[in-house]
Amino acid sequence: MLVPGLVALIFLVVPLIALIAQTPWDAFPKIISSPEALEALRLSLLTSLAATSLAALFGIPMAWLLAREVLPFTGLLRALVIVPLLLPPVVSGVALLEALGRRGLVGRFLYDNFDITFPFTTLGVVIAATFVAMPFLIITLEGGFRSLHQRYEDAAATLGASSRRIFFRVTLPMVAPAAIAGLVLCWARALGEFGATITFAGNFPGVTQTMPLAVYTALESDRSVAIALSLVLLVVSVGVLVGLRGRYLQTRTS
Amino acid sequence: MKITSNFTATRGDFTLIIDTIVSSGTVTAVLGPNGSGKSTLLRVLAGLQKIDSGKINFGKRVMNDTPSIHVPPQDRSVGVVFQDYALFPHMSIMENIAFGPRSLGASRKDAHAKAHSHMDLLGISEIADRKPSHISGGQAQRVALARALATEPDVLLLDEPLAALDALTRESVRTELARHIKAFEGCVVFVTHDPVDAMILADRVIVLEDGAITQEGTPGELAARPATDYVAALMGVNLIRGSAHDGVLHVDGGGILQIPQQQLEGEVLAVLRPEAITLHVNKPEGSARNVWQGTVRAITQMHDRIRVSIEASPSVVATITHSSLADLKLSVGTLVWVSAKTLTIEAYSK
Repeated sequence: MLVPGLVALIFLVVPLIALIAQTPWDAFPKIISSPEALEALRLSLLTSLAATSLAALFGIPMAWLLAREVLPFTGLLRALVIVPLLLPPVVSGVALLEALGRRGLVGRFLYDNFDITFPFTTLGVVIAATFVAMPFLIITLEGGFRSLHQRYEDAAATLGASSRRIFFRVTLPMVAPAAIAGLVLCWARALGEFGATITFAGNFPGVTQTMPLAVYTALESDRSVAIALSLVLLVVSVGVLVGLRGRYLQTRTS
Repeated sequence: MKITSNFTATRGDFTLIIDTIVSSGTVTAVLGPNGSGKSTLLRVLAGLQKIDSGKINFGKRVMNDTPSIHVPPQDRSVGVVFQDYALFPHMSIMENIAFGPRSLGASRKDAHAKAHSHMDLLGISEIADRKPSHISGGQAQRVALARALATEPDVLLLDEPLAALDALTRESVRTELARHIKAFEGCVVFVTHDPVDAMILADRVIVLEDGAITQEGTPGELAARPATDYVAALMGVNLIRGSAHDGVLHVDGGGILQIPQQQLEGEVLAVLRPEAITLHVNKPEGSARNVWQGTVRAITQMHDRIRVSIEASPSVVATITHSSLADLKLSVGTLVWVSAKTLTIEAYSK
């Protein structure tokens, strides 16, 4: 057990060490404060937060519907919700193009009637990130809602609380750990989104070029820029992990 | 106010059929074994579960009338004490109790004032700022009661209010609960599987078995004249079925008993208390007119007495003292004579 286990550990850790070791520390401040890098960072934060907000707005209710089995065919619906989680992101991008592209199923209607286009816009980046990240929130939160016994909501109802009050004052606070974990996972996934974004929204600096896309682009021109930007994303990931450590992702020993 | 209910409800493949009236100012116990539908009945009255057919009225207000009327729990003016209390773990005790008044539109100040007065009433003011995870089981029960009463409901429903407590706490909480629910002016319905709860707390008992009411009456009536084997077992008495004629009971399944109710005719039930039965090694001579022989099937310790189950016509359970057990040298399989004085038997029509 020990040897293969350690192989796994080394395999997972060495690339991260290599990234840090190869970081051009002298040029680092200059690289990450360059207008291109700052623009990509700004765009990444903006779109990932927007995607997380959208996911929260629509995903939290969906998670509740799945957990309480309000709709028929809950099993099938859950499977449908999980699909984007398993789909190769580039396939998600193609699927989004077919749905929301100018000639897509829904996109054609939106373009013809309202002049709305998603591909190659910042909004497209948000859509792509939401598509791939929302399932993380739904699945995590559904588990939270499921493990919450119905009797708390029943008790609140007999005490005269409206369904809205029950949801915001009883249900949601009681699943706060799952909600926070789900939101963070969702946000981290949105922040790292690459395949669906580049397929659906393209790679235009200042408009759709998020950090991962900037890293990819820089790799072809200046390797040290790619490494420096990667390090920023690594720091963010580790930051998320540290933020959640001891609260929601700890080993359950009790 | 009266609750009149006549309905059927299903849960899974289980059907509950209810037709009864509950009056305000009385405490009604719903007594039944696990899975008899007690909790379903309570959920239906609370509006947490829909009925399949029938009608439920709280006084003049129609709560259910199939197919179209189902008043939601929010609008029923019911207070419910749930089995595990279901206190909101993220709120303090005070917030738990103020939640109801707040939900019904009271200002924060009024809701808090109401919560405080109910905490005073139940003697839980000192734990107002604690979270439910930091109070004892007995305290949680009082908080649950205070929370249910704080909305000033017309109907108070309690689901196994004492089941979550350990034996020691149970006694004191039961006494206190009796005081509070007797002071409550509306209808009180509580569910229990413990006959002691029903005997002590209730004015009236509804027995529920397999989703149907099998007996209704005062605790005294249930003890004196149980209608089913379940009730008889809870009351700790032998229930014998048979047909009566001229002061003789012909027991179903064989055997004859002399009964004091000379005028009783037809299908009857008879109660024979285990402590009124005497056991003998040899056929007894004496005044007891009911004497029959049987085989000991089980001997169990029960507090300061011994319970002896005897297979005979009719089969009975007798309670004897330890010294009698020693004198009789009983063991499983022993042949034994059973006697019971006629006057100790109470027979009654079904």
